[in-house]
Amino acid sequence: MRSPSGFQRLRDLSVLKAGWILPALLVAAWNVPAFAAQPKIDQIELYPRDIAIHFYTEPNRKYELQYTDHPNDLTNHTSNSTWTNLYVADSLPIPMHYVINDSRTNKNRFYRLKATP
Amino acid sequence: MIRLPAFVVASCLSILPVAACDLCAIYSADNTRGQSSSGFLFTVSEQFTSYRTILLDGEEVTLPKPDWLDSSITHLVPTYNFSKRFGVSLNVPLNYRSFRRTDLRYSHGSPPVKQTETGSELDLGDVALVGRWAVWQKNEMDYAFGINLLGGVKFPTGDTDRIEDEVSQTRIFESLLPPGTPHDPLSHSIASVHQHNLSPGSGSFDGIFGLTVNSRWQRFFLNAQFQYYARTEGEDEFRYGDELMVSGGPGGYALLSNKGTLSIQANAVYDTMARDEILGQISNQTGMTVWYLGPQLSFTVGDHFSGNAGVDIPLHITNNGLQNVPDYRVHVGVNWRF
Repeated sequence: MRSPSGFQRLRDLSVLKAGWILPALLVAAWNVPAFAAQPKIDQIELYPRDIAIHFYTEPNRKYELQYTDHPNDLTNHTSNSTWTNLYVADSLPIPMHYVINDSRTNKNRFYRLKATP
Repeated sequence: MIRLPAFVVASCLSILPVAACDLCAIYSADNTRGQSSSGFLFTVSEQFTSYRTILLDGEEVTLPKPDWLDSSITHLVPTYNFSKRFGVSLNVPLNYRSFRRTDLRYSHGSPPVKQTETGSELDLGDVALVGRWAVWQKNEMDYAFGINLLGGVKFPTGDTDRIEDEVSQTRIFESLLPPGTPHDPLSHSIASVHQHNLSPGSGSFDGIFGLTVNSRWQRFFLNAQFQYYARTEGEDEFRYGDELMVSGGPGGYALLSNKGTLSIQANAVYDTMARDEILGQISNQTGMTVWYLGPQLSFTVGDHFSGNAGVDIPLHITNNGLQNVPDYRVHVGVNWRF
């Protein structure tokens, strides 16, 4: 297994705020029924050239991992927001653990995970 | 997944005389199958299995674009019987698979890509050499009883590219996980038809062990077959789970004449496959147990030609994880005694 030792592993927002490194994490949910768990980005690992975003899925729910490079989108939920799908995990009858790689940029990048239903 | 064709096992059974006229016919059938004489035999058998039902831990699930697999295995089996008691068979399987599977492909540095593969493939499978020893036989006019032992080796002659690919995906996914993260070795896969389900070869030398017990009273018979496949580690640290098959049931001769015979049997099959092991880890996405029941017909024509045909309908299936399981199996075989 690839060890993240030597690199910063981000586990929560407090680490994100303290770190100089760029990617940030935002967890968000839309239209989630009361019985369903909140979608959650489990972990973000930093590597020299990319990052690895981990999340677990529940059966029979579709997940969209999205990102934006614009901090205004964190509070702007109108049609002007520029969230982009990084990965869509289709609804499956089994729980899954996804590891999604994204290249590192020299800008801020925020991620959110959306689940339906 | 290579198994001995039913015909190879059936050829180790002897269905023995009943009475006067029937005696000739059944003895003739026995000789036609090559069970009671030395010499050379050649068998061609075919088993078609439809895997279009998807079960998740034993419960049927419906998917929008489901995986499916139709498997057709043709066995070419030359056999030489040194005597009534000893014989050896070479099983050469030709595997034809028609399938559709959708799975994720992981790579370093980019998100996984969902790919759907549809196709058909024909390949040589794993060749097996199997010996037969008639341990005990008792033949009387009104009844008969016999026990045969089978033993052999399956050789890694089939292609294993798909297993290599599956293991490489496991390696990539594991490399993306933090050390110590609990996971199944197939947790990277969303497919219900996995690469190892399509592989014609295992890459392993496997042991084959069998026992056949047959009995007859007048026109009626009852037989049972036990087969055990001891798998060893094969290609790229992949090991198929061991498999146990028990089959058999009652039957009787429906037609008896000097020109040929026809018998019918109610055949029950218990088939259980242990979970596979990948890179030293047991996968909970593999392994299943199936109970089948179906009719089997056997016939002989003249002194040299015989055959059989049967259908296996699954009555009960339990499985681990998400897998395609059999809807039904059809098998036919013909045998020529030289």
